[in-house]
Amino acid sequence: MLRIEGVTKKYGKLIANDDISFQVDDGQIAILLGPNGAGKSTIIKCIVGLLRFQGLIAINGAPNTSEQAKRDIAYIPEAPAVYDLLTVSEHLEFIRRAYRMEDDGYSDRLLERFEMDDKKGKLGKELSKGMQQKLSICCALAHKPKIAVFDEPLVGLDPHAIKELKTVFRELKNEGTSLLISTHMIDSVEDYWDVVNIMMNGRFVATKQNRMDGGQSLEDLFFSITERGKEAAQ
Amino acid sequence: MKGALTYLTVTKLKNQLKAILKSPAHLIYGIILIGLLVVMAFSGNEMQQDISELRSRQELIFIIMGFFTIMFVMVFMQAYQNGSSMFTLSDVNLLFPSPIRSTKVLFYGLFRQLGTSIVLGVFLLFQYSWLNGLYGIHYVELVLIILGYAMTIFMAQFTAMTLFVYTSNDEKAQKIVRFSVYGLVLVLLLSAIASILPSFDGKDFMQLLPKATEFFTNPIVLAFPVSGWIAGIFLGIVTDNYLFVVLYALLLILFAVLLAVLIIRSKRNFYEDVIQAAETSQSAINAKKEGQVGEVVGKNVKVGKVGLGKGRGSSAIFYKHMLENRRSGLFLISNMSLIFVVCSVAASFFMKDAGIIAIFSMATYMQIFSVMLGRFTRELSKPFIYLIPEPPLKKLLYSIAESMVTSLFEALIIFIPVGLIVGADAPDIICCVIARMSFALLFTAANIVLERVFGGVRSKALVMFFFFLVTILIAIPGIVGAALVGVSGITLLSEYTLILLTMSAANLLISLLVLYLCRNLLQYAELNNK
Repeated sequence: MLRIEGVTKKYGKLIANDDISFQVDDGQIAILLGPNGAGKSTIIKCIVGLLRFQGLIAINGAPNTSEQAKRDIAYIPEAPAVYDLLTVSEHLEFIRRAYRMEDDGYSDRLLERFEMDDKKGKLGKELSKGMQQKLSICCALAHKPKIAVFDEPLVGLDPHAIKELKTVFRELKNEGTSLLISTHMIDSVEDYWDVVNIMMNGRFVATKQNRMDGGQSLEDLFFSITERGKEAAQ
Repeated sequence: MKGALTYLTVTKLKNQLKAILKSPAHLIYGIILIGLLVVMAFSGNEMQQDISELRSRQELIFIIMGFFTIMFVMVFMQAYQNGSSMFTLSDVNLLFPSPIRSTKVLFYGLFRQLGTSIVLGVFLLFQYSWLNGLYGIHYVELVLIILGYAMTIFMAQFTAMTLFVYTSNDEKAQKIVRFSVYGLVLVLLLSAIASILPSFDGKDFMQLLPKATEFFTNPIVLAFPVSGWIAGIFLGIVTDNYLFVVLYALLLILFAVLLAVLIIRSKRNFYEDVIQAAETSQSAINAKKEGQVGEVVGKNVKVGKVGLGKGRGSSAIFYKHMLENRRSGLFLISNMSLIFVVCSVAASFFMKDAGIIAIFSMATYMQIFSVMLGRFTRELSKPFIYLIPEPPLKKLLYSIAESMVTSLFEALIIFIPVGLIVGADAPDIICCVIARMSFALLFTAANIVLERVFGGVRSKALVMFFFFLVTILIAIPGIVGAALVGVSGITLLSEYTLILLTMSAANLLISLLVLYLCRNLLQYAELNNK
């Protein structure tokens, strides 16, 4: 379970995240929506321990910068992070070694699912941006995290990879993994979200549970809230 | 309305200046920098009073030509291999498709490159003290040396770009170009050896220096492209021979014009050739920002043996770095370090009487410039190192371990030959290796402090300056300790063993303390402004 309590992040005078609290339960898919500059990537970076903040972030009860928390969490950044001089298979070997995991074939299966198994010998720098993104996803999931945080994971992916990633989301959910996904592609998450948090100006302006009753669509909800927010600001 | 390129240049300069003025920290750095330069200027003048007889300025021409030739070849090869990186990705995306004439865009790139080269030459200002002390060089002449250095870097890039435009699609032609450049340097070197060696008696290496100076100040030798011309201009200035100045300046200008004409006249648009280079340099910029990793991954990387093979937890980082080093061709020693190693060994022939400690001091001074954080700074730009569930200090130590392996190799290939040449005792040679390793760790620690405190500073000159400042501060305990042991007269095994071991122990302790205090660098990416 991911628990965020009263998190505030300031850059000088700019408040990027203002007293944010929410939680993502085991086996739940939480979506972060919001216009550019709303503070989505900032809260994600705070969660995965890249930024300092005021407040509390707990990963399965442990502070987010503890070794236990780091073992449980996965982070898929917006820009793919791969090493130029490592081959695809070496990326996964590195992750297994760094996380002290045995090779049980799981990382190879991930590569197959994302159609990367024939690219195992390619260097990171030889991959296209989309392939780098797929490798980045495989690396993040290779240590079987209990909480996975995705920052715009679908950007740059081909249709097959998008479909596969959605399937992975559902499988992880069924296995009890907590998922937090930040995205602008609202229609891509329409059919599997459990809870959505809409951010504007560093704050949560709405949180809604998915009751599967076919009511207001996520897109309509997003526009009604953000347009209202803009009008109020004017 | 001003032209777009003028507007772009002026606005960028204006905004850079504003950014400096807005940041109090930058202003303070600037003031300290000027202060340090003033101190060095005075110390240089004091030195001059101590040395009644200055060395021949012609000797300096020899040094300048050697240094500029090495820099030209290094920069040329780097730029030629990957395409010259005169343009950024923003230029590629915004300027190249715009209706501005490609010739204008080219000159905009060249102009900016010249500016960058001058900034890179600023570090030469710190050489004022000894240049003034030994050769009586004053600030005006030093500025000329800096301009000469900038011109060397600029011409190397410009030549590489021109030749790249003509040969980028022809591997055979590329090989010919590379061999021609190396061949030219080899011809120069062999001619120098052929001219100097006959007068050598095999004993007194000092007699080689005037002979070498005589050879390299010969007007025909100074006709050697670019570095020779620049050295020739400088020789003309210091000897008041204005014919030399005009002659070599004319050669330089004609060559630059020839390159520009060749690019403009090229049937192929140079845009296509620089796009890849711009992408390569942009990826390097993004990855390291202001880091000191001098690596741009080339087009053709030999993969070789696949797999890390070893490592669990933090140690996996070390084995990954070793693998990356092998692929980047930096397995044991960088080009820059190799040059310093050769200089140190060569110097030992001339400094036999001064003993191994004199060479050690000189090599340590050069080590300041060659110690780099290796893959560490690059590692900081990726999220993995922060996310790996291991103690931060352990991750930090394993991240820098790769550079220690390089340092050990470097120390061995310097001090074993140097020790044999100067006839040092075995314990002294071993202690020099240990002391060099301790300095490598100390300089690495200084780099870590820099990352921790000034990770976000973009100015190369400021980063260099702070590196020196931090290095001096943390080296003081070791130097003081060694001096105290030296004064006490206590010895162990040989004359310098105890002095070097005391210095090494102090360096080790200080470095570990610094690393411990900076361990949280890997706790949050934010701490080093990544």
